Amino acid sequence: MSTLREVAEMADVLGRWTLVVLVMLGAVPLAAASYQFATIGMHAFRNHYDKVEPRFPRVAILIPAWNEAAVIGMSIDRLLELDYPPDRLRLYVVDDASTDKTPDVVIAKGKENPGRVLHLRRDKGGEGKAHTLNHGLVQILADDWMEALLIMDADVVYEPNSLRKMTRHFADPEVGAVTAYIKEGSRPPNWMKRFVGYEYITAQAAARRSQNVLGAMACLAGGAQLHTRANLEAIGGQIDTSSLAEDTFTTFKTQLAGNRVVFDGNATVWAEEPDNIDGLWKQRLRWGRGNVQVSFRYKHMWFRPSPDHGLGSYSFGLFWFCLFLLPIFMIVASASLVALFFIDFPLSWAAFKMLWITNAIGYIFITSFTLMIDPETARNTWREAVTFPGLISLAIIHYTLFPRFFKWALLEVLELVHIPASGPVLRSIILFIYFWLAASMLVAWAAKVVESRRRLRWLSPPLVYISGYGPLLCAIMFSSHIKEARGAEMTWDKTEKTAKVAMP
Amino acid sequence: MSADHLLIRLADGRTAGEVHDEEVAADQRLEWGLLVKEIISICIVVAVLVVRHLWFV
Repeated sequence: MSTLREVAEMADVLGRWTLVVLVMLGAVPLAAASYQFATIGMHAFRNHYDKVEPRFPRVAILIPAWNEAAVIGMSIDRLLELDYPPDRLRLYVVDDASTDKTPDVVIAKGKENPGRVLHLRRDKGGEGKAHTLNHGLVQILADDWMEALLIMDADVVYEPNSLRKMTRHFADPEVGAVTAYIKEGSRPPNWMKRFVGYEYITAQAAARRSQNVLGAMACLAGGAQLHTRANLEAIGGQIDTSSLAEDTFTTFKTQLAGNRVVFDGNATVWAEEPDNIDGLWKQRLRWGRGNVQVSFRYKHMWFRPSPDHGLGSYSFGLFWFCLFLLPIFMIVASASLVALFFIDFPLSWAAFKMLWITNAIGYIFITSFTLMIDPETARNTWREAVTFPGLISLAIIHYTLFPRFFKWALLEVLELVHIPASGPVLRSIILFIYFWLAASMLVAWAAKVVESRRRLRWLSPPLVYISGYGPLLCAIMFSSHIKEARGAEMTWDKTEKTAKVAMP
Repeated sequence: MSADHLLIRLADGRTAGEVHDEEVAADQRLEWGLLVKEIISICIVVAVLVVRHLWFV
């Protein structure tokens, strides 16, 4: 009998500590992100600037365009003004069977700039960006004029020196492709564009510098990817059409072919990003599903270090899967906290504090550093930076950091609204904050739902500030997993462009 | 692609070689600046934790 009791007690203790470990899974993504940010300082030593020299290859700029009449003319003008030898630059606009005035605009620009602006027309459109790019690639590769190919989006605006800053990396023969720092450039930016603007500092200016240090690039930005001709030929001269993440596939193929991919954070281009949740949801769902496809396609590569490329390194795998599995971690951590609440409250409280202290440290480090990485963008987006995790998570972070002050403030608020600070009320509040990691994604999803209701649309931005932009991205990632698991049809939902991009 | 690229004239009339040296020096300075900013961020985290420990727990 006593043996049985001992076994039961051991199982009980084991179960509780398993739940604690599962709670701490919720801290892994932010801890991994902090590790990633900690490597950025190394970029001062491990960048590619010691190998750059002036290089001006003949560059073919490939612009896929589907109903881009609002932006394509301005983009062409900007590209022709690049500080780059004019005889070494050609623009190929692949018109994906546009039904607006895109062909008229491009043909007119072609007449103004004979031999420099070329209009290529697809009769059948709407199959996605990869098909459109391939249509142009076939024709560009058939001619030996092109030495380097710049793939971009129709709305992207290049700073005059940005292409030159990208081509200089080709002085190193090991480099197969270069990408630039894409910044949200809509003027004036609304609340959503400010969130995206801040996110792009973290996801591009910061994360890609870290990837330079690690020697493994996750993705060449779709609006700014420059390839050598040799690299394009090495990866088969075509863009992958079987997935929704053609940029990521191209990036992985380049590195697996033994060519280096470099991010130049000082080559800046400006792009227009979605201005509402619906637009963001469609764009990120496509990216998220694409990343799920990449994860499975290269399943034999992860966590297998190779002397030929850095994609199999443990650090790169950790960063990749922390983003990929972030919503799962959040749900598991929340559910485990709630379970512990009913099983062993003191242990749940200790686990909760451990989880949120770790997250608070990560949040302060990443936010303060990100704002300093790009002070120009930070001036417009600091509010979104602070509220990135959401106001409720921010309150929890404040509580874990300054509990004495927060307890006092909470009691004051309860007194103000005439709610007695009794046991049941406090237990309800604790249960709510335990559940919040998962619930924040639900609230973010609710923000999307109310945005589609005309009378409730005004509620959408406040709900995102309350739940957080981060949880909104997690909710989209979760939706990506579900759609991929269900084998949902792959649709190409293009982001609406309105020609609001302006360089400062 | 060869070394004669150094002599190519850019929009401001200067040669690519002259502009290149300036740009690379400026870009490298910015990267050094990021290292300093990272150290400042770590100091901010440490300061918050010290303040928390001293006055708010």
